[in-house]
Parts: sequence; structure tokens; C-alpha cells
Amino acid sequence: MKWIVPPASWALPDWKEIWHYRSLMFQFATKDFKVRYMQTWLGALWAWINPLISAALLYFVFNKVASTHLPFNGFVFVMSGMVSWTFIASLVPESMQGMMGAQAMIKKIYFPRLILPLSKMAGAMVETMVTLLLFFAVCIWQQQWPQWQGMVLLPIYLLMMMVIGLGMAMWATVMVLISRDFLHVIPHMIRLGMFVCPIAYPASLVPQKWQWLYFANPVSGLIEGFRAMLFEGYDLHPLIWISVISSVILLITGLLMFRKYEYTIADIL
Amino acid sequence: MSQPVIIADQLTKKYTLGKNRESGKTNSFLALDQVSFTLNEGETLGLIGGNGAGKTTLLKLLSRITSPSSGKMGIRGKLSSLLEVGTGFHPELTGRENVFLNGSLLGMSRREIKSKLDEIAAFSGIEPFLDTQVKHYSSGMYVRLAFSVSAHLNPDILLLDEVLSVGDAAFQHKSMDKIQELVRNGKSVIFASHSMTAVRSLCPEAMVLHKGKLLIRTDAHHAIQHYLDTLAFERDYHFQGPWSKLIQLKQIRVNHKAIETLDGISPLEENLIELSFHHQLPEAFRITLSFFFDGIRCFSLHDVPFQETPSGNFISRFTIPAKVLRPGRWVIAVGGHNEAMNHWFWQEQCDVLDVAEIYTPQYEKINLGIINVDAHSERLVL
Repeated sequence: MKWIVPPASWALPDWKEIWHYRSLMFQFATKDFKVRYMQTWLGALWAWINPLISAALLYFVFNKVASTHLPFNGFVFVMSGMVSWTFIASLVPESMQGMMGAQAMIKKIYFPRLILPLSKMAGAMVETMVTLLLFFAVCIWQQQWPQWQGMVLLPIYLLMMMVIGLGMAMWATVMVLISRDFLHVIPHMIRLGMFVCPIAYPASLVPQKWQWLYFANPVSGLIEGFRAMLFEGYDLHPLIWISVISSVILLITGLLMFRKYEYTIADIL
Repeated sequence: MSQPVIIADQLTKKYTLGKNRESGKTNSFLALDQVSFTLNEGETLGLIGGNGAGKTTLLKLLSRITSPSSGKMGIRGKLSSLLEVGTGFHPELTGRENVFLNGSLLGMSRREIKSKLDEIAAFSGIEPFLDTQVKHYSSGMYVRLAFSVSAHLNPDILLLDEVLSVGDAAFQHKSMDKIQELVRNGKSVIFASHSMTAVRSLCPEAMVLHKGKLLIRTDAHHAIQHYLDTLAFERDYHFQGPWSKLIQLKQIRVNHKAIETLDGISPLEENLIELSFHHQLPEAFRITLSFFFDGIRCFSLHDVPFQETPSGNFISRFTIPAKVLRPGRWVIAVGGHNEAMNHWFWQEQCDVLDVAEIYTPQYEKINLGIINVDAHSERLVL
């Protein structure tokens, strides 16, 4: 007999149960893909077009208009930032809107609520793989060769990306659950993030005394780490450990908060 | 010796309604108040109670959609619940894709679903439409598919809430058979319904919930009687359905007296029933008044053919001819609908009407039955 008692205030997810519901996660992710690309002409090509357009825009504004100095091929540089950024910028709003969109279901059927953001993450991960292919294509086109030794670290990069993405998605969802105002605030924060994160400029451009704060943003470390991993001569920033710590804190607090609010979703949505 | 599959121990659910701006206090109410019961393996338990009695809350707690505020519950085995039509159906996806989605929602693996797909499709009877997007389905098709998925999941415990009332009669019958088959195979069922007929035919035992409290758990017949007694005491008019917010039943008067002051009406005389409403319905409608005896709908009356009525108050009057109703406790249902039947409102157990035990030589006690029929009869001596 399985006993169900009133929920504890703070607890981490029940990973065993989530594993049990893994097929649901893939169902959700497939459903999202189908719905998103079913009625478009270009279909999954949008996964390439979107980051290309954003990268071209940023490249133009920062490097052609503001003529920021970049350590290597400008377009490859911006694209290397866009790989991480596209993931975050699509996952966070998707998760929080996904939670709102699933209200009817949440009120009628039980499943671990974490499955919803996890399925969004699975979807965003597939898109990131596609974006990575695009990125390497851009590298070849611009003849800015990544170092092959760095590829070994790719799984660690992707893992960190998921840690940060999930952490942020958890926080965004919890904030929206607390107040619907955040449905409007968060898209602005994401737009702002495009300039705050070192996508179109290197982190070294930030004044020395603010560097620690700059790296407290986990995405900064993610993007900088990705570049240092792939491009020879682009050194790993000494403060990157701040990003690693803040990523882990972000994920753990996010999971705790989500778990705390998960139980009330059916009641307050 | 059958083992318990559900044990509820002092289950309580408190809902917060938000802060009162003036006093700064948070309003809350107990949707479920210290409910304890045990469901043994292979039992089918009816769950009855008016609107807001806590039926749905109890089922939501048991199916873990929401968590208890205090108390605890134990569940043994796989529990599947069917709380509303088409939950988890995505309109853009086809029936087949939705079966997979729904199956995994209920905790089935892809392989399990695949092996059951033919059976599910055959039972639902919508095979030709399996590859049609469900947004093109009718609500009847929705329920058929949803019920088929739930029933074929092989659950140990099945929770059902009112869902079967949507399908057509043939499918309802089929579903009842399926539930009975599940019960025969040792599955346990909790069945919440407004339909006393369904509860009576399906459940040997029933629980009555009232304002979050468990009043009684006994055999279905007595549970229903008990429920009807609380109903007569309460007089809480509350419609369900798409139009439920646009019309309110204010009062029921019988023979020019408020129904609550009545002690019982005479079966020997004509009885006038007046229903006072307040409404803002946008199109033509008619009011329906149905009479139930022992859970069986004996007859229904309509006030007028479909007719548009200016917003505000109106009264629908019904005259029941003398000597039609036999003595006993009649339950009346009140509702209405538009001509297309897609907009409606309804309260299945709206009120009770006690018909007094008055008999005369022309109106004998021995004429057993539910209603009297004014028929002509004679004997020809040859």
C-alpha cells in the first residue's frame, strides 16, 4: 500500500516516479513538435532560420554599427553565443506557457508536473542539436575551424546547458504561478538577456571590478565556456567557477520551489 | 478475505479563496472534512451528494490531482480515473495519437498502449475516425474514446465521475457492462453520479457526502434515501451545464405555497407547480420538469415550445392532473435547453415532492405502481 500524506514544504523531485512517466515526456515533446511545425511551409527549417536571423541582427548592431572588437571571426563568434542563447530563450517561455496551457489537464489528471518542463527541455534539446549542426556549418563557411579536442567536452557543455535551462524554467514557472504579472515581465527579461549575456561581445569587455557579478549570471559562463572549449587561443575566463556554482544553486532552488508549488497548481491555476 | 485497496484516514482538503481586502483575513473553506473509509478489493462503491458536497474533491485527492491538507490515504495498485470528458486530448492531434498521449498520461508504456490499441478502437466504435483530428469529433465520440482508454488500461481501481452521462444510450449500456466486467475480474470501482438509477444498478453500496462530510455509508438503497432526505432539508438550487450561469431558479411553489412549507400534497387533486426563474438567456428555450420515483425518470414536462423571453423574471407553470402521482417521495429535476440542444442547464436532484398517503375507494392503496393511469376498463359477461 502506497501512503499519500500532505506534502512536505521542501523536497526534491521523486526521480523514480519521473522515470516511470518517461514515455509521457516523449509524448508531450512529440506533440509539441507536431503542433509547432505541422501547419508551416518551412517546417523544422525554422529551427535554423530563427537563430540565424537573431545572430545576423546582433552581429550587425554590435560589430558593424558599434564596431565592438572581437577576438575571432565575428559571425562565428556571435553564432557561438546564439547556440546557448536559443536554447534558454526558447525553453523558459515555452515551459511557463506550457504550464498555463496544460491547466485543464492538470486539473483532471495526475502525472508528475515536472514532466511538463522536462518535455519542453527535451524538445529544446533536439532543436539545439540542429542549431549545433548549423553552427558547425557556419564555421566551415567562415573557415573558422573549431579545435576537435574540444568536442570531447560537448556532453559536459550540454549538461550544463540543461542544468541552467531547467533551473531558469523552474523559476519562471514558479514566478508565474505566484503572479500572472510575470507572464508579461519574463519576455522582457529574456529580451534584455540577449544584451546582458556575452553573445555579441566577449565577457572580457566588462569592467574588471564587475566581472564577478557578470559571471554570477550562469549563462555568461555557459557561453564563454563553449567558446574556450572550441576555439584555440580563446582562454577560459578565471571566474567561470562562479557561473558553475550559480548554475547548480539555480537548479536546486528552482527544483525546490517548483516542488513546493507543484502541489498547489491544481488548486490555484 | 479481500484486502483494502483504498484507505482514507481523516482526509481533509482546505481551499483558500483569497484575501478579504478589508479585514485582511484569508477566506478558506473545507471541501472535504475528515473523511475516512475503506474500499476493499472488488467492491463497487457509489458516491452521491449534491453540488459542492465534495465528491469531485474526494476523487481528485484519490487520483492525486491535488494533495490533502491533512489526513492520509493509502492506495494499493494502479489507479485510473476518468473525471471529465476529453481530458488530455489535444484537438490538433488525431484520435490514434491521442490514444497514445492519453495512455502515457495514465502511466502506460508505449508498448502496452500499442498492444491495446485495436481493442480500444474496437470498443469505442470510432475506428473509421481514428486518424481524424479530434477537433472534428463530437462530444459523444470524445467520451467513447476517453472511456475506452481508461477502461482498457487494466487498472486495479477505477474512479468514475459523471462521465457516462454524455454518451448515447447504447454506449452507456456498453460502458456499464464493461464496468461490471471489471468488477467481476476483481477490480474496485468508485462511481460518483447524480443519476440514482446508475448508482443503484451498478453499486451495491454507496456513500453520501454532504458539505464535505461523510454522512453515511450503507447499501445503495438506504444511502439514496438518506441523500434525498438531506435534499429536502437543503433546497439548494444550482444548475449545471453551459447555461448554468445565465439562469437561476429562485423558488418552487406548489399550489401557491412555497415548497418548503409543504407537508405533502394530495394525490386526489390537481396540483399546480410554479417555478420562478431569473434569466439572461440569449435565445429561445424551453423549461423541462422531470419526475423521478426510486431513481426512475417517470415522465417529463415542458412549459412552452421554444420561445424567446426578455431578460428578467418569469414563472413556468405546470399542472399535474389529479390522481396521477402515487403516494411516496418524488424527486423533481429542473432544467432547460435551446432548440439545437447544444445549450442547456440542469439539476438532476432539484427538490423533492412528498405525495401524501391518502386513499379513497376510487384511489386504492392496492393499485400498486408509480403512477395512476386514467384508463377506461370494463368487463363483458358472455
